[in-house]
Amino acid sequence: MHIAEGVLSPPVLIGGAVITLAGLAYGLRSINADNVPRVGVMSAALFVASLIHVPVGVSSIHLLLNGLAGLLLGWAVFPAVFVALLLQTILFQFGGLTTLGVNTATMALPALLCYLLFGRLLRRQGALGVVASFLGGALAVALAGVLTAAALLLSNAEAFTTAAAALLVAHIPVMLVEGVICAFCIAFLRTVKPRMMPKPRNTRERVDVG
Amino acid sequence: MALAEPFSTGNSLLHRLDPRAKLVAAIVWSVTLAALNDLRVLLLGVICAAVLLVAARLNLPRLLQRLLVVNIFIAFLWLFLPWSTGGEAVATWGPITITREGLLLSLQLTLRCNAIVWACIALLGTSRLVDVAQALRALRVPQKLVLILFFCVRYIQSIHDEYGRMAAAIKLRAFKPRTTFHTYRTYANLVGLLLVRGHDRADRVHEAMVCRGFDGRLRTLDHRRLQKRDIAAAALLTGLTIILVVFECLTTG
Amino acid sequence: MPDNGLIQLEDIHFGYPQRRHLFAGINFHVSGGDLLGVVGANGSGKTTLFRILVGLLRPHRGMFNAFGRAIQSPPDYDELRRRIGFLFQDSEDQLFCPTVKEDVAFGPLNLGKSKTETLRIVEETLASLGMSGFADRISYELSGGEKRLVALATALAMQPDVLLLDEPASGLDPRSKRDLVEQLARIGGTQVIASHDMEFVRATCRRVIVMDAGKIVADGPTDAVLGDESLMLHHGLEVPHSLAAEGRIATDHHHGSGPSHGHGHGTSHERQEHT
Repeated sequence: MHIAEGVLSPPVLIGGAVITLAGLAYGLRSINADNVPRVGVMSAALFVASLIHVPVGVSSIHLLLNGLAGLLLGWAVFPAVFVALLLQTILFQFGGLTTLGVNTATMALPALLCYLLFGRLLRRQGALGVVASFLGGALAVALAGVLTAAALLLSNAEAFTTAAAALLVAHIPVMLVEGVICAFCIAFLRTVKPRMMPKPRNTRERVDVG
Repeated sequence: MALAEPFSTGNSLLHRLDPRAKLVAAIVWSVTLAALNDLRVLLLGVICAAVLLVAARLNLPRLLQRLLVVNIFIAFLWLFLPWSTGGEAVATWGPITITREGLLLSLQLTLRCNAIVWACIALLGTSRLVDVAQALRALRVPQKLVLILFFCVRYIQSIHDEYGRMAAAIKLRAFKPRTTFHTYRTYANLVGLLLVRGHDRADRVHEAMVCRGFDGRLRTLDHRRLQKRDIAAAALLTGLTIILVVFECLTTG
Repeated sequence: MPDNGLIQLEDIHFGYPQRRHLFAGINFHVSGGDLLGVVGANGSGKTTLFRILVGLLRPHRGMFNAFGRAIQSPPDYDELRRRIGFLFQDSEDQLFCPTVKEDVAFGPLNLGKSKTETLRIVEETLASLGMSGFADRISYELSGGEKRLVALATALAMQPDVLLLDEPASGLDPRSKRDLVEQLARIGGTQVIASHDMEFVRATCRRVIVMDAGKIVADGPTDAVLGDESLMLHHGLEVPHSLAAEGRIATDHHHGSGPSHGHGHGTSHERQEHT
């Protein structure tokens, strides 16, 4: 869930913006000119995929997919999440200009962490790959919940305690569903398009274009 | 279409303003309002934002629907804040005590959120996404980021159409979403397929760009020139925010 | 080699990783003024050939000459792509800008043209295709036929010497297809067209080559090649109905539908592999 405008305190907003700016700067440097269309189109695909509603019991949730995005995009997840959230801000007024920094950081930081932790395990066949991708999807959502709750608590610890706790509890089913979906999705991609699996660091794919 | 821009077409003064002027005004307004606390000043901000919304002459039912959705998060906070904030008791039901401070805080967040969001709908919603992206570029946002935004905006609709066709196809094969692994696996494959197609499309788009001489630098046509009314509008809104800040200082100091 | 040869591929070898070798010594050439059709079943290598011609793929071995020079270094490829306009199979991939104007302007701007010059080129190119009012339209919202013409405009705006068109007729309704045939006839110059639509090839090309499994199995005047029923059927193709209706199947190799090409292929097609 993205935090709405006008809720967080200025120091938290500024902190989020600083983290996001740093992530964007590093993320953009990691994208070479040839990969710019890929990050843009993947960002669009993830945006569309996050509109999908998945049933959970009697209710339904929409997917966050930040873990999947992190696993597939690596550092480029910062610009990708930023762009997707900017579009949500302009299109649906979910979040807003001042919360863009905080909301990007709460989504992208866990995604990046999952990439660093589990990225290189994904190419593995069998149980290890499945567990790594499940954890990647689940942990990214769980940490996104934790960071969102933390942003609320840092703004006004006394008033937001119960709201933050409720937010965390609400993330638990989402976390499990996302883990399962991430695991299935990575398995699908490993079969259909192994090229999309995260690469060992510091190696670049050969580009045919002259 | 889920990604329609319902407010971007229109003929009001706000629609005709340059997106750069509106973007600057929206940023100044949002950042300033986020730091204001006094209820009366925030109420004044809401009134100003309401005037902007009226001036934008948007489709009323769609606007109300949008505002409702935006306030879901605020409603969520109203569920907790009035009784979880300590202070002077206003009403007590069993273990739950509604406090004056809790109510005031909730009201403050509500006013602040709506003052910002209403103005942003009036300012940013009245431009096409594409023009907002161009405006970001004019404001010296890094080229790569603007390019990523461009591609995202350009292909979101195509990918959404693809998703629509796939969703229809699985429905035709008697798929009923339930809380089962089969359901999640189906959705995961759907997401995977969207990503694979996106990946392939990105490759082809890149090739199409290379074929037309792309070397990593985006060159685009000039924007239209800023007109006096654009500058005047941005100045007016900036002036308004300064007045709000002055009021806030007067009330607190 | 004929003097007016614009593009020559000699003994080109190419294969995709983890797949069978596609080209094992293919020879292909295009002369100035050629209107050349490339036909062949799915997977016969048409698109790969085109992608080699614009330098999106590099041949593993062989000689590639274009516009009087060997194509080897990256600057050669840049120059190559400047002089060869490529119409992609899916116009949606080619129109990556938000509006038509920006899409058409993209190439000229990259070539270093000034903004005023570019705007003039955009206007002229769109006008020449009868699309003057389309400059500010959103690319995504165009119809299939309109998208195809705008994609063609994006290639033409770079004022190429050769046009490569990959399946230009696919997905078009009959009227859009007729429009496209007319526009291509008007544009003239040198064109290479890959298509499954034999009627379209017959309407636009004077010379046709047939590809199968990475080999060129026939090369000759359009009606002579397309009218050879056994050749066409053998390679998974069919004789265009218009030709069948005229009763000209595999009879007249000396028809008058195309002028001589001056590059030695003359009037009867060669069959390298055809049994």
